[in-house]
Amino acid sequence: MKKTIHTLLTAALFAASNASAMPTMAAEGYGNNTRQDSGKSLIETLQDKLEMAASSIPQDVYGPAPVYDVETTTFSDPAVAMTATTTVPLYGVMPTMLTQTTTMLPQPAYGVIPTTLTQTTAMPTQPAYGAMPTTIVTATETTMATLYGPPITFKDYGDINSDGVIDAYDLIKLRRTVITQQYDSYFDQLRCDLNKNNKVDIGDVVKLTRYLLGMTGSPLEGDDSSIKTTSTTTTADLSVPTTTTSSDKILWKTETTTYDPRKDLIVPVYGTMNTNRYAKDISGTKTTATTAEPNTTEEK
Amino acid sequence: MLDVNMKRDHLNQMRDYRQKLMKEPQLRNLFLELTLRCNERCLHCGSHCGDVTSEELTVDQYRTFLQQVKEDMTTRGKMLDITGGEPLLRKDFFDILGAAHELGFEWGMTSNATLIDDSVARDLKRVGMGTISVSIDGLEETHDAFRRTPGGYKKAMNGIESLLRVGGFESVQVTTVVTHKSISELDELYKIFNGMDIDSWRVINMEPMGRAKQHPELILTPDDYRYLFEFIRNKRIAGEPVVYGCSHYLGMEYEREVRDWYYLCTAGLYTASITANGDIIACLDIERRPEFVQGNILRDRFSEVWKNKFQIFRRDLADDNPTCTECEHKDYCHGDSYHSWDFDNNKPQLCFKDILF
Repeated sequence: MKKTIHTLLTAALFAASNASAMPTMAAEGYGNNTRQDSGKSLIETLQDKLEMAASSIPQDVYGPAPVYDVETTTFSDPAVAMTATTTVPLYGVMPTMLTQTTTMLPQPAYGVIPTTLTQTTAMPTQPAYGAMPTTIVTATETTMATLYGPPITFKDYGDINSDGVIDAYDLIKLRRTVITQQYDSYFDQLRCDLNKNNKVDIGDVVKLTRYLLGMTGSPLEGDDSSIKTTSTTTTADLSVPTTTTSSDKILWKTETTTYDPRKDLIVPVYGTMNTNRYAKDISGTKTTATTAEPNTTEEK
Repeated sequence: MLDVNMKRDHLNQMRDYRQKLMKEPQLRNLFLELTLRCNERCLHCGSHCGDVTSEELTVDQYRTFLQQVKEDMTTRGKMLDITGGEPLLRKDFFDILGAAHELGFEWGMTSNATLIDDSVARDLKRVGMGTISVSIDGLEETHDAFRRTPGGYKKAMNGIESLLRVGGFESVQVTTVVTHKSISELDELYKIFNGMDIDSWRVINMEPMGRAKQHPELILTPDDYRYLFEFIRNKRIAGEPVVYGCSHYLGMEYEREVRDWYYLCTAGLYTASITANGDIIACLDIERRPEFVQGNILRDRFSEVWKNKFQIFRRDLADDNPTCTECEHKDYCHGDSYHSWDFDNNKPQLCFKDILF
């Protein structure tokens, strides 16, 4: 178990109190009942530190450490014999462990000894809340979920549809999520947020696309700026005069093109939604030329 | 033993502070009982959890409720405490807590850890879990028998190891409910937990409530109680992070010595709870009676209920019992914890007077 400054201060306070209760100090007028108006004593200092620590310790789930104003009281300073050895008592008298037989029962701390030995194992038939209330509120659904069910945990980043594989289907769902901003569960948003900016946006689509194209080793790697692809063309640079046409004298031009995944964002979205308004939000004032076809009667 | 005058002064301040809280309650702990279903059948369960039908709220309902709490009361200074049943039995657990995390709530949970592996631990961290308390109620044989779950001890320990392996949580705590049969195992348990990297070990007594009432042979005797508190105190003297729970007034001898704060039943003052079906109550440990249900989040706004109701909890139980009224510890004990009060006979079911003080 962890020993913290708090536990050590507690031990020090006990030690100081035990030391102050020694007979020699009591004979000299020191003792816990003597209060002097000198500055803060050791016990007082330790007490202050404990109170400050008590208000900052992690709160127990059952019951907080109350924060209350404690007036600092002055105590006598028992620091004279701080090095005295205190005899730590044992745990007191070992309790008499009664052998439980069918005819004997240990004395309870309260009330009378029960007269029956029968242990009932029947589950209570009445509701746990006592008598049925006269006003019945039926706003909740009774669930009979599986008893032994662990909670649904977080899966891999990028596995948007939670099928265990990161593939194009995840890219499709991610694109849809960027537009609709709707999630099936709390962790869905985490799975989609590949660039860790607490939003699900085009940058996440870029990162997943890069991963699927084999440009990165994981969906979280790399930046989320537009993907740039380079392509070299074997086009002769005609601006440079040449005397011969040998291949080694041909100058190669390299063209760099930028892939903007936003242009693909709208097209493969399946469904009935008119995506024009979303497209406008994503790409500023521009809108794409692509719109979703209206649903046919059969589709409706 | 710590200075008695210091403790008396502090308890007097707590008394005044409690009076103030009864007029101006401050929500700090909001328990959410996600489900009554459980994959264990503990003998001492106060909620009769198990393989039972459980009306449960949906993710959207939780999201709406938490949004309302945030709007009306902010998330500042508040902690959600997720419990059940076994909360991880909900398949949409992470959707619920993901919503809470997005809204900015801090949260912790109690669990039997049997469903926790490395991936679940990572997800718990991902959705912002701060603290967790795992129940281990004895050595392997005792634990499995007490919880009526073969193999439960190993699964729970594996769950704890997963949590520690993943790391990054504010606190990983083990809670042990001590019975008359398991009290002799405290030393062995200490050795086991001391070898683990947990943050603290909470040791509490079995309360006479729920299913525990059907097992009187497990109730602790007065000697057991003294042994238990001496054990905890001596471990704390040695600087170990062993702590008693928040329940029960322990008298001048043990107050402040077996836990880091003084006794204060926070039901209705600091603490409110939402049951699995949305009922608003004070503390999930309190006996489930219709008169204790203050409202339902599906029809009431929680902040209004917190402000205008809960009066039944914002009073001294000691006023209802002649013996308590005349007791010199009444101001500090105020009738002891709500969950251990016998509302039919108006008396505490567990009073440590004549046992500890």
